[in-house]
Amino acid sequence: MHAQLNEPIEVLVKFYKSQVVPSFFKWRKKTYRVEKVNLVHHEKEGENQIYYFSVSDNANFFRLAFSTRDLSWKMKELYNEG
Amino acid sequence: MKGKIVLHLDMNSYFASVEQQANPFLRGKPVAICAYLSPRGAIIASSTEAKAKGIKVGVGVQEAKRLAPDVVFVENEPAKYRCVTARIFKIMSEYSDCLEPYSIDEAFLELTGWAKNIKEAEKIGLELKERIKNEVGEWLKCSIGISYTKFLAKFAGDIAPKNGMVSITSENLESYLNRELTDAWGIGRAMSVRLRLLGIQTLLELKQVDPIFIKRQLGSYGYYLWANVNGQEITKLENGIKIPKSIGHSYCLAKRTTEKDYLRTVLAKLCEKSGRRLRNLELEAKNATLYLQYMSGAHLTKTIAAGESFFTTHEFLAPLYDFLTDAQLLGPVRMMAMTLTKLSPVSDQLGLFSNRNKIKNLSRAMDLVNNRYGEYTVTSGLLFNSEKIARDRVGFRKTVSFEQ
Repeated sequence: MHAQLNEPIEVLVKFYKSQVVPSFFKWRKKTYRVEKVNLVHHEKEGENQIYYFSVSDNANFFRLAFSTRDLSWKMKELYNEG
Repeated sequence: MKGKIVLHLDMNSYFASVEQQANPFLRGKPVAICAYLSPRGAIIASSTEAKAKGIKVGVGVQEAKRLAPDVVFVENEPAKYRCVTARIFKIMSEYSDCLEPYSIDEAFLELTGWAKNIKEAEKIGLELKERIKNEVGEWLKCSIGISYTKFLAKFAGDIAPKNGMVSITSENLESYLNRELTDAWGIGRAMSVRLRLLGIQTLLELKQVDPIFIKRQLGSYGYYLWANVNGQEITKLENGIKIPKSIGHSYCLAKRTTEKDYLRTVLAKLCEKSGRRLRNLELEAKNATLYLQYMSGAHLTKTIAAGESFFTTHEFLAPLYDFLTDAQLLGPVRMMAMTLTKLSPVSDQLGLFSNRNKIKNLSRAMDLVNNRYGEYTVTSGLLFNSEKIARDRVGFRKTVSFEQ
């Protein structure tokens, strides 16, 4: 399944070696543990910087977006083999 | 220069590898990157798994599905690739003071004075591979070429196996040259035909030919090729980002049409994107060219020259817009492109008979608003409802700017 989304999420992050690493996030009332941060990239929208965290657990790929304008997190993409 | 060392780094299956890096569930699968996820779209990059099934650049989406029913199509994401490129180039720049980005996935590194000999350069090459793997992504692989000229370093990188490294020295040069002419940088199909007509079948034969003969037959470009395969440095590395020779954008239309309203909107979008880049680089242009390609393959081109110079989007959009309005189209248009050429640094010299500074400053003010609040916050009414037209795209052409 592959879905493009734009839903608010709650994220627990750790600050590790001057990096921000999402560890857990809550989406649609379920908590997911991030097993691996595969790639981080950013994009500009005017003065707003959006940081995209491509993360995965054992069954899913998620793309989480952090906006520097309002310090909010969103779930942008989901991919799994189900 | 004796003892010169140049390293060339070329990322393997770059766009697809970045996508596989981001999403590990795509690894080991045929992945095809498209500019647009539409049935009429074409593949702009593919993973090694997709290439093994015949899905190469330019193959259509339908054909790709036929070649590999399990192929995964991914729409390209320029911001992601530029960001990864910036990180790779940043790592490379720690090894020398002279890095020349060649394209989004290729760069040259001047190691003269930074590595004592080829062996030390090879050590740097291996370290770069390891650091890219550890600091950027474990799925990202690159081929590295090392030699004593820029041309030979690129040649070594091009013939290196995927994820491999080749070093060419004056001692082993000939052993690598017994190859097709087109394996060399700068020899296309047309040039290889001309060389064959002169009895030159391989790069080794090109090396051994009389330089006076080749210059007489093919002019200075023939001599340039001969000097390159003989290990004579013709072009040196240029540090950093260069001022481009031209700035332009093209768009394969989502709908093939003769409808002027739609075509004018596309033109306005292409002009605005080009104008933004022109002004960001603090440049002015003397010429603006519009190119229309019909479904039949025929094309229509119009170049307009500036009275003084082009700086604001309106200055070159208006005449091209009028031209398009009056043009007799021969059929549905499939592709549009616009290019600004004869670029030079912007001058705010006051004109004797006109004063453009006011309009230039207005344009700069609009750019500042768009920089702060996002593209197209303040723009021409012509761009209304044009969000889906000519979105940000990236190609493998020679890159002159990438995100830092």
